[in-house]
Amino acid sequence: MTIRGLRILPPLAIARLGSSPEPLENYDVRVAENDPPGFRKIHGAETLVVDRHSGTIRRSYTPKSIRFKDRQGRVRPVAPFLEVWADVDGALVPLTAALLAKNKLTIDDVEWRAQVGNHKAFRRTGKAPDRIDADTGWFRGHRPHPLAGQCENFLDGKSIPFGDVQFIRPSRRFPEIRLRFTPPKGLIYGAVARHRKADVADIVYDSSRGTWSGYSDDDAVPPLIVTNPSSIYANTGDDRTTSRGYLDDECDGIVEVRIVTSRKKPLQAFARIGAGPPDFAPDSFPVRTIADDLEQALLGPDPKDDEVSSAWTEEIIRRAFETVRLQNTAALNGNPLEGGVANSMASQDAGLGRAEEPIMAPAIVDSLALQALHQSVFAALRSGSAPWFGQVLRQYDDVGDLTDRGRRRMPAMMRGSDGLHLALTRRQRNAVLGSGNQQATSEDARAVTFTAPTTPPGKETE
Amino acid sequence: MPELASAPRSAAVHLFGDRHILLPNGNRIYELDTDSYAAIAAAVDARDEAAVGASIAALGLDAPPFVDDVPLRDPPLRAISLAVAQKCNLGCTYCYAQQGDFGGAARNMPIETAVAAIDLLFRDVAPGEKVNIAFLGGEPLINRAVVRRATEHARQRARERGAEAAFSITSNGTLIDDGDADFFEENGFAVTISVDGIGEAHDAQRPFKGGRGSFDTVMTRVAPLLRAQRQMQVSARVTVTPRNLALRKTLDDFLSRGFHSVGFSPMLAAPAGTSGNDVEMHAADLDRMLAAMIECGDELRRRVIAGRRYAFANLVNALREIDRGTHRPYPCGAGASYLAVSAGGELAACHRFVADDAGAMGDVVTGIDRDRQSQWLADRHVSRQEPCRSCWARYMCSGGCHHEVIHRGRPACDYIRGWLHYCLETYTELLREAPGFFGSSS
Amino acid sequence: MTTKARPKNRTARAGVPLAVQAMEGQWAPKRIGSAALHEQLSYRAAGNPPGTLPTTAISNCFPGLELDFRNVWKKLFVGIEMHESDNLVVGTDLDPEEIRNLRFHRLVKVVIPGPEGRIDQPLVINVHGPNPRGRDTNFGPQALEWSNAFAYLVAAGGKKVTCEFTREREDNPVGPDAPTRRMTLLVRNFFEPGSAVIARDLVEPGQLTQSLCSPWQNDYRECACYYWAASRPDYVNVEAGPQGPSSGENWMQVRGSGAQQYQPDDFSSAGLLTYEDIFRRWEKVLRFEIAGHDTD
Repeated sequence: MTIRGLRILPPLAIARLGSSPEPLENYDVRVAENDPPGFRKIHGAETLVVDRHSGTIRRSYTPKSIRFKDRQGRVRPVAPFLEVWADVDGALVPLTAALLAKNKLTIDDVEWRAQVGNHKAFRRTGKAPDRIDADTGWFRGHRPHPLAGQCENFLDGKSIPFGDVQFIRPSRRFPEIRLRFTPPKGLIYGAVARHRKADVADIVYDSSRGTWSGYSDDDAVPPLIVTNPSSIYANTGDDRTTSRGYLDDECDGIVEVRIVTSRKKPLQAFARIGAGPPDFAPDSFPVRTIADDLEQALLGPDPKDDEVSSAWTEEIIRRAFETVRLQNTAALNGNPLEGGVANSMASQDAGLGRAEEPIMAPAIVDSLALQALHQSVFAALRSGSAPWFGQVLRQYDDVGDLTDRGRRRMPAMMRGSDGLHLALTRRQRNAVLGSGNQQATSEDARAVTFTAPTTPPGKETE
Repeated sequence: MPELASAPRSAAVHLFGDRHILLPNGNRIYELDTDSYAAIAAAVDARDEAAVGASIAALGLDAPPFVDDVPLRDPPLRAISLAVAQKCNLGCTYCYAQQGDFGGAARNMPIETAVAAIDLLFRDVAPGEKVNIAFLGGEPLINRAVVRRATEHARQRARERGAEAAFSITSNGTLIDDGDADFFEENGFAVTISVDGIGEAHDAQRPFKGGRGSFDTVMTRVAPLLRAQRQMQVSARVTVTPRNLALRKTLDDFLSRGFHSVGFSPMLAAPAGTSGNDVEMHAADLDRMLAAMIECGDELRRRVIAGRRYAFANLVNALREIDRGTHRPYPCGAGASYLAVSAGGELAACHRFVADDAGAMGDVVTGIDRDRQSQWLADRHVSRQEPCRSCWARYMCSGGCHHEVIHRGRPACDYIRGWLHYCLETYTELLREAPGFFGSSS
Repeated sequence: MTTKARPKNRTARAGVPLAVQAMEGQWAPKRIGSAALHEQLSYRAAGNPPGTLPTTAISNCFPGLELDFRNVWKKLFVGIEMHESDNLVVGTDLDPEEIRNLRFHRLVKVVIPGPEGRIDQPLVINVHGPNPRGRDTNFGPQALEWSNAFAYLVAAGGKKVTCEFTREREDNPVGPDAPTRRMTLLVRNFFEPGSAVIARDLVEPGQLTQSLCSPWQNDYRECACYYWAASRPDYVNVEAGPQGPSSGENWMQVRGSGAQQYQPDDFSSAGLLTYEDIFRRWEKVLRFEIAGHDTD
């Protein structure tokens, strides 16, 4: 039972902002039975209730329904747990007080550190004193450790709270070693100049030291390189999109755990965290996610035969539909609309020089018509008769094809990070292409489940 | 009489619940749309196996066999039980070990035999692998010194090998002393206490040799163990006879006393010549037992849906295996990776075959008799069993307990299928109502 | 598998992506192989709702939301720093001079060694389509997004690869056929060795969010809905209309006056939320949508 190494799982945990003191409860999201393109259902799942003062998990329970805002209308923050797992003889198992004890260690040997930053102003101005960073330093014990965002260009004594981290005190019922990151509230902070009082929670930025208030992407010449898209910051609304000097409390960074042992090198591991806005449609998911990009980086763009499955293909299509379903596809398509012109993929393409035309025939892009279309795609897939489907997926290097044919490939009417029509990851597309004639089961599944019988005596099968 | 829903109608599929099917090949479970379910149900009703097969294929669910008919060969030894004391202080009415001595002279296992058995177990264990050592009897605590020394020896071997040793003991509970709680806790034992009911119900089946009831003694002795459980788990095992069918009461009582879990098994084959013949379960008794098991199961459903724990071992284990889709050609590891060691050092297919020639497998000195083992594995493979080959439950039940089958045949098939059918329905209900139950139990 | 049959237990579910199983609460292992990195990546910790998973976070859609994943590629090559969404070298080490001189040059191609032979991976394409007169026209070059363009390069972590840079400093995009010169650069490991965590030296704290809008609330008002409807919806409270087409509301529409028509976002309508509404009251005015309908 010797601990050979540590990991923190999940390796990337996303927190979501909100000012309620009660974190969002846990839930599962499951595909609707018998209605594959229907909305997924949210079911309460085991929720751990942390006593903020002592750091113990007071109890766990399964909520009957999930409320995303509290009674006062405040958004409940998503505050992820990060678990420490121990590498014991080739397998990772949750690190517990008991496992520490077996290695002659105690909970007091466990140290943590968290570092997060918000470099949004720095990314624009290019000036290092505009970096906002927070660092708890190494700590032990179970009280919450605030992440106070410090910045050279802040007014004296000012900082931006980026939430806190708390080492959860293991208990008999919850013996695992874990940390909780509670994100900040989602507040906006201002600079001495150009703020409007009601917009901001506090004035933190010293405009006599830094240039963030008054900055404009229009002035950026190399070595300053603007973001793409550019001018995405709160501005005064003038022609130059002059920055109001606003800052938010989004952040990202790392949490580290360290256990000093008698060995030469301490046991240590880290994971990444980030805090972003809430997911306002929690039963719907984007078609291409950070998980898809990480999987491609980890496993490569070519899934193995036993990795592809119709279930995976179905999930990709479901997600495309989940995005499309919440878009006014008629507007995005560039259909003429009563009451004004919406910004659309058609108008974006026109900005590149292309003739401004709807992407699809206007009649087929109504939300409900698209739903019917997706239902028939599911039906075709499920009867094994849609080998054409993979062929209509846009290839990653065909994103510049703005012909009608090119623009009608899937996913349609969505925009990718290059500003052109979105492509899936190559791994996702290859998964769809490869799922033509998959068996429900593979030899691999068989290997997983067939274990030589080893009934431990005294625990006979009944 | 109308046919039971659990009856064996097709070897290729079993229908249950709300449009659900189990495919024995891989013990896979699917929910079908109305039309597909109707088609497959019609084929099953018509006893048309070809049409059943065609329906499965049309759904794309046909697959190469998950379990083949080839018997296991030379499986590595990963678990042993040590009959450290072939004697007992109780006189249970149905004892397979015939009051502990297996029909021979009462004896204790010498430490040398235990050490030789453990060394045999560790002979080809690789780093990271896990082995199990069980102490059984008779009543193993009659020979406490060997239990402790053997445990220590096994831990030493495990350290040397970088392997992990897990320990278990099955005891009648009457001889537990003050030091046992610490010892079991320190070594993370799975402790099973044989208890057959509350008070008189227990006493009627499990008296001391002099005839006095043992229940109060057991409860007094077990109490410190129940309080001390952290690493160790103390479970109750109830042998069910026609006389103690109040299962729900028994279950709730033992759980309230702090047992980690409670499991039931029907008394199917008592040795001839014991008074146990009177307590064997027959068809009508098994029907009553099934009803009592379902009563316990319904309570588990209610509790789990309410987010609570209810350690009814039979159902908890069955649900876990159903969720995994476990499918096996043998019902347990007996005669394969698990062997029993008698007090004299003979190897047997399992603890029930100690001193029974039908399960002899060599001894700790000369090692496993691989020829006898191969013959056993060939004979015991479920594909060689009748009427198992045509039964939908064949890779769940896997032919049933070898000891009972060899000595009494298969009197309990309806009971087993009825129970598994209920477990399958419970599974799909809980998957819908309390899926976290499976997430966290994996 | 045709799927008039819905798989229920694990043998039947073989093939369902781990990420989905985790989200559905069907997969919560107590033991994971040390080398099973995909499992580690997909793991959902006890008590964590699905919103904590990267499965719920937009990636290379424009320009990210929770994190701007594009930033992860900036320092993939040792010695140079790329723009997060352009093939422009924005920073370099000071030494050697050869490296220093790459600043503001463009990376046009990379040659990736692979098990099935080398891959010449272009990093630039031309955008083309019909112009307003209907003639197929080249609208100019565009760098490919890194995540897909580097899909095979990640496996070369720890190795040197051949890169082709423009000969000259190029402040503006160049086409795939621009003259280049070759340089050999070392590729960083994408993941910390033996783990599924993005490597320490690839991004520092603050970098994964640095290119997002400041404050993010501003973008909720400003950005149109091309990609992020599954997080920041657009078309909600949708009902089938009497004549067939649907009717529904703009998520950004001020609620309260009963059934409304979809209000297209023209940045000026009185019926839409303003910047001020979102800066000052975002928790109140932004609604959670379950089954496509307001829930709070």
